[in-house]
Amino acid sequence: MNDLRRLIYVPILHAREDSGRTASILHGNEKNDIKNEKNDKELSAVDEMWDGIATKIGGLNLPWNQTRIYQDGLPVCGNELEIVTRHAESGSPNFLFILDLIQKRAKLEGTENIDLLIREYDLLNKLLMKNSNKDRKELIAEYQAKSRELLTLRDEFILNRITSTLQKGELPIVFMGVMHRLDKMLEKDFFVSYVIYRLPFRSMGTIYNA
Amino acid sequence: MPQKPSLLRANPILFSPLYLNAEKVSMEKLLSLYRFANLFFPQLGPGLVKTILDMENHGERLSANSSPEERRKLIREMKGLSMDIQYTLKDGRQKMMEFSIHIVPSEVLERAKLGKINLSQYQNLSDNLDKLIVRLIVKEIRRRFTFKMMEYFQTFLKSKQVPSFITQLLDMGWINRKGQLLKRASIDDLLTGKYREQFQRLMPEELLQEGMQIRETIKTCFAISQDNDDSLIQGAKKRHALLEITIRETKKQ
Repeated sequence: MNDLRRLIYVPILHAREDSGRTASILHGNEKNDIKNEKNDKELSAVDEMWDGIATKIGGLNLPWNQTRIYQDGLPVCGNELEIVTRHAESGSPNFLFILDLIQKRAKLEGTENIDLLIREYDLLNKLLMKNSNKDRKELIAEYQAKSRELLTLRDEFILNRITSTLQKGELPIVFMGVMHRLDKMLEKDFFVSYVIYRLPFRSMGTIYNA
Repeated sequence: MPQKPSLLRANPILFSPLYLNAEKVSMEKLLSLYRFANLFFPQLGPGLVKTILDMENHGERLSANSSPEERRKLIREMKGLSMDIQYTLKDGRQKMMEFSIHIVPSEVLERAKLGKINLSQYQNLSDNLDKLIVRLIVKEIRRRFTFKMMEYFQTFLKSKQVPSFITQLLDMGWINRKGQLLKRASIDDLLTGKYREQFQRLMPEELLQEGMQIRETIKTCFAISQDNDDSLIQGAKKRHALLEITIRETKKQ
């Protein structure tokens, strides 16, 4: 047990604005959506969550120059920093925080398999296609089943990525959506230390990405 | 202690186990309770869970302030101990609704020691609580409304001149000779649909009013259960947007 390396695990909620507060998507409805009151509350809850996470991580006094960051949804592609910057510019509190850690000299590591992310994107496309003849419930059930399978494959890839890229003496910090089961897989090789900020329950319900 | 039905139909969830003693939920006055709860306790379900969270927070602090050996000892000593918190709503002396929260302190401490939180469990807990309450309310208000209608149908059926609409409902198999509303009957069709006019002519205004209120309440209840899918779609749109940007940036290289 004592030989296990420490790993900081941050379960995150895939909040709405992880995609960027100004991102224009799909059918152009989101710009209107973001104006409504519900979204304002969500924005506030998400900000609160990330403030909380930042405070908790700040309190850990980690050796930043020896810390390697692994991020949910960040593919191994050589453009990792550009992707983080792009999302941060869009206003994503998750990526803004990652950028802040990079400025503190933490190292950013490509985490995910791009092919698997493209598969997830295709799945979402299918779910969100408005001209589908399938019943919405049926589509959701199909999406949930397939995304669960995909999640396992992604977790396996990320596990290998962490164990193969982490250098001696480095501390991994992993930001991963709460639906992932990566932490269970990591427990064999690491002493997993959780950093969690609790959202107010009601707010959590509204921004939760099940 | 009698076995309590688990809210999640499974072993106690991670963290403080919560049970809902569904068998104890009285069917009386649920509609008025629902309205009252909406006004005064809009977050009844989450509120209960929050109570548990607060207890667990305290458990974490306790855990952080004691040595591993002390914690192990405390957990060992508390094995077998449990605590029940009762939320009871009464009408006079009659219990209307009762929630039993069953807590096993050693399990709470064990989980606090591990420091693990599974937010999806909380989400499930809240959703299940909502769904259970919604199901009970829907069942009860349907029962009450059909019971009220039955009284009127019985009166008509006993009269010398049975109105043609009642005969029609009998022929359609929507009511039986006792005046009971049968399963195939659509309350919606009677209140607002194709039989609305005949129904309005026969039934007293207060019954129609109550019917409309009930219909509205059921609609609200179903809207609650629809909310999960809507959230999922909203989340999916955002995730889609995030991946779109990521994939586009990846291809720039």
